[in-house]
Formats: sequence, structure tokens, C-alpha cells
Amino acid sequence: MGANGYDLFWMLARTEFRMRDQGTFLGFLWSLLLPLFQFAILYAIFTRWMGGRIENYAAYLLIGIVQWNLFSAGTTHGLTSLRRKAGLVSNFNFPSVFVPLSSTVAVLASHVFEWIVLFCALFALGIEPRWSWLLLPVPVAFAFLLTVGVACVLAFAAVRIRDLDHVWSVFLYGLFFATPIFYSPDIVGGVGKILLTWNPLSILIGATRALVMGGSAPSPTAIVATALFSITIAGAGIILSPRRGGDVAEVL
Amino acid sequence: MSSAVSIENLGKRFRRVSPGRQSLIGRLRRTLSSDEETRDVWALRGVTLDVARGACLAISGPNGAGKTTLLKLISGIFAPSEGRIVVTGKTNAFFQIGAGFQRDLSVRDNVEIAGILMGLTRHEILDRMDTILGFSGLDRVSNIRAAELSAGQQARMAVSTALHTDLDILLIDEILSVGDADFRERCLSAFEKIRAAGKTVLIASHDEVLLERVGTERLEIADGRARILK
Repeated sequence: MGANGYDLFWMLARTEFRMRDQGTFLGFLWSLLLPLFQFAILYAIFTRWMGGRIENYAAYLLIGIVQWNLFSAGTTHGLTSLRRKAGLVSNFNFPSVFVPLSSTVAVLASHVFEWIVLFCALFALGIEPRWSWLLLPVPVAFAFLLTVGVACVLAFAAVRIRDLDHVWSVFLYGLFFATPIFYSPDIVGGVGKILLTWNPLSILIGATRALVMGGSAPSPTAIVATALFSITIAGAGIILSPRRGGDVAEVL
Repeated sequence: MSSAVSIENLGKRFRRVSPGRQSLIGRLRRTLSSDEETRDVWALRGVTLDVARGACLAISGPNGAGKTTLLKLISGIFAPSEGRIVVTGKTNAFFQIGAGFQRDLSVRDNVEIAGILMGLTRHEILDRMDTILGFSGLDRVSNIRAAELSAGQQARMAVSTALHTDLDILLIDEILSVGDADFRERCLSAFEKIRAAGKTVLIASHDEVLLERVGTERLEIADGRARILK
């Protein structure tokens, strides 16, 4: 990728970020409203049930929601990215994979701000800083890679399958409950336990919580498997995306 | 004189799918059953053409004849279904009314985006920004949203940007028909200058007077077939 390639990629990401949040601080606050609202509702409903089992349930829940939102917002935004940028894709000859990639990078930028707000909340909830916080970029990076790969696959599939956004929102709804965001994985047994053990989001969120709050982390095998899975999904998503002159512009 | 665009037996086929078959279930049914509700449409077929460097190819033809498809094939946005195209020089963009504008961004931002998409670095397009805005006559409205521009002003923005980038082959589709007479004259004069510098212009339009005036070569497309007129 030459100088123009870098400029093109960052320009697309910047545009995406600005259009998503209307380019204003207030616009960015709107994107924070959903996770805060989610937190308030889940905390109000589940604190009695989970509060006794999980130490500092508010922090536990906040970390889960913030990490979940990277995947949820990244894939949802990535899925529609090529359709939203149909005007560019069908009028300029450039690598169309830049569109879902830049869209996910824009979501990552919002995610960084969410982490800043999260750190403020963690201090307020009495969580002391730890050296392990320095390792936080690792699970975030793998969550990002997983998001990028899935977003690329969805973006190109959504060009041909027009109702994929509805299908994906239903899938995400199910995945939200199949990921220990507001509950402890200990309460699940049987097949559910196996699913939770190998759900990559469950492992990444578990690792993030262990780094931030201490406590038990997922097994090293599960973490390595999730890292390799995230890298493979990202690589496949990017490598299998159509190159220039493909038929994406025709279908759009 | 060497060729800027050389086309041999070019064909472009589109697969039309009925709307009901674009859903996930429809897609699965299409894959699993032999009941194909798709049909192939040839937008262009058997086109052989040579455009010399520095020429201006004026393309005419009724709606749906294949003019836009031909320009998109030359730009590389579409891939040919058969035959081959050899393009000597840089042409990665295609200009039609409202093409690729981000309605919620400013005129200035849109020029920057278009410039980068046409192959300039950010530094280069920012250096040329004032010249582009001056040529387009949009310098006083450069900070308003692109959505607030008229069709004619959008055309000005697109053509002005294209004229000030380093494209060797300019592909213009009907865009000058919405500009006012003064801007159109400036564009035609700019086309002369860039042609004199060895660059090539391909322009598709329904405006016979414009095509007759600007074209050094004429191509008529009808029903996906092309015919050289001069």
C-alpha cells in the first residue's frame, strides 16, 4: 500500500467516524448512551441475583458491555458499510475491502473513548489500578481482529443478501445471551458450559475482566485458541474479500 | 499515435436476480433448487475500439444502450465478462451526476475525498484545494454540506476536482449537461488544454451539439453494440 493507499484508508476511516458521530463531541456522547442505558437496565434487573455471586458486579457488567459493544457495533456497522458507501464503490476504482475495514477502525476509535469513560467509572467503583492493566490492549486487539474478520465477511455477503442485517441482529441478540456479559459463567452447566468455554467473545471478555479486576482468567489453552481463531478470521475476511474490478460495484 | 484505450471484442454480462431472491431464504432456495429466477443480460457485446492518446471520444446512444457500462469497464470499476481492455495511463474514477458524494460532509471534505480516491495523496489534494474551489466557483460555499448544492454545483465540484488531479484518461458521463453555460465553456476549454498535454477524454452524453463540438472521434452505442461514426 503506497502513500495514497494509507491516505485513502485513513480518509475513509475518518469520514466514517465523523459521519457516525456527526463529527461532534455531542454526537459521540450519543454513541455512549446505548451502553450506559444497557448497563442501567441490566444492573437494575440482575444486581440482586448476580450481585451476591460476583464481587463488584457493576464493574463486571460495565467491562462486559464495553467489550461486547466493540464486536456488536463493529460487525453491525461493517455489515452495512459497503451498502452505505455504494456511491464511492460504484464510481471509483479502489480496493473495496477498505470500506468494511475503515468502518471497523472508526468503531474502534469510539471504543477507545468508551474505555476512557470506563476507566473513570472503574475508579469511581473503587477498582485500584494494577500492572496487569498494561496488558489490556492484547484482548482488545484480538476482539478487534475477530470483529474485522466477521465485518468483512458480512459486508460482502450483505451486498447480495439484502436482509442479512435483520438476520445478523437476531443472531447478535442470541449471542448476547450466550456470552457471560451480565451473568457469571459458573451458573451455566451442561452443553451451555461447553459453548461458553469455547465462545471466543466469552474468553476475551473473561480475560479482560481478569486483567482489570483480578480473579480467575480463562485457561491459557482457551486464550491461545481464541487468539489464533481471531487472527484466522481476520486473515480470511481480508484475504477472501474481492479485489479491484470485482462484481461488488455491479451488485450495488 | 499510441493508444490510451485499446478494446478488443469486449462484452459485459449482468446477472439480474428477481428481488424476492435477494433475501437469505431466496438465496438458499436458488442454491438448492434448479428453479433459477435469474437471467443474464448483455449490456455490451463485441465492442472493439482504439482511442488514441490526446483524443476526445464522444459517446452517444439512447438510455440503457451501454454508455455508462463502457465507461465503468474502462475505469476498472466493472470487470469484463469477455474480451479485453488495455488502458495505458491512470483512470480510476468515473464522473456522473452526484457520483460518490457524501451528502453530510462539506464541499471541501468532498473534494478531499474525491482527490484521494483519484490517486492523489492528502497533501497533494490540500495543496490544490484553492485552485479546485476557484475553478468550480464554489469557494464561497466550500464549508456548506454537499447535500445543499444544486445538481449543477455538484457537477462543478466533480469536474473541477477531476481536472486538477493527475488522471491520464478522464471519463465523463452526462455531467456537463447540468452545468451552466459559463462553466461548460470553461470545462471545454480545460479539456482542450489537457488534451494538448497528451491526456485523453471520453465523454458520454445525449447532447449532440456538445458531442459534435468536443469529440475528435465519435462512437454510437445502441443495444449493447458500438459503432464508430468518425
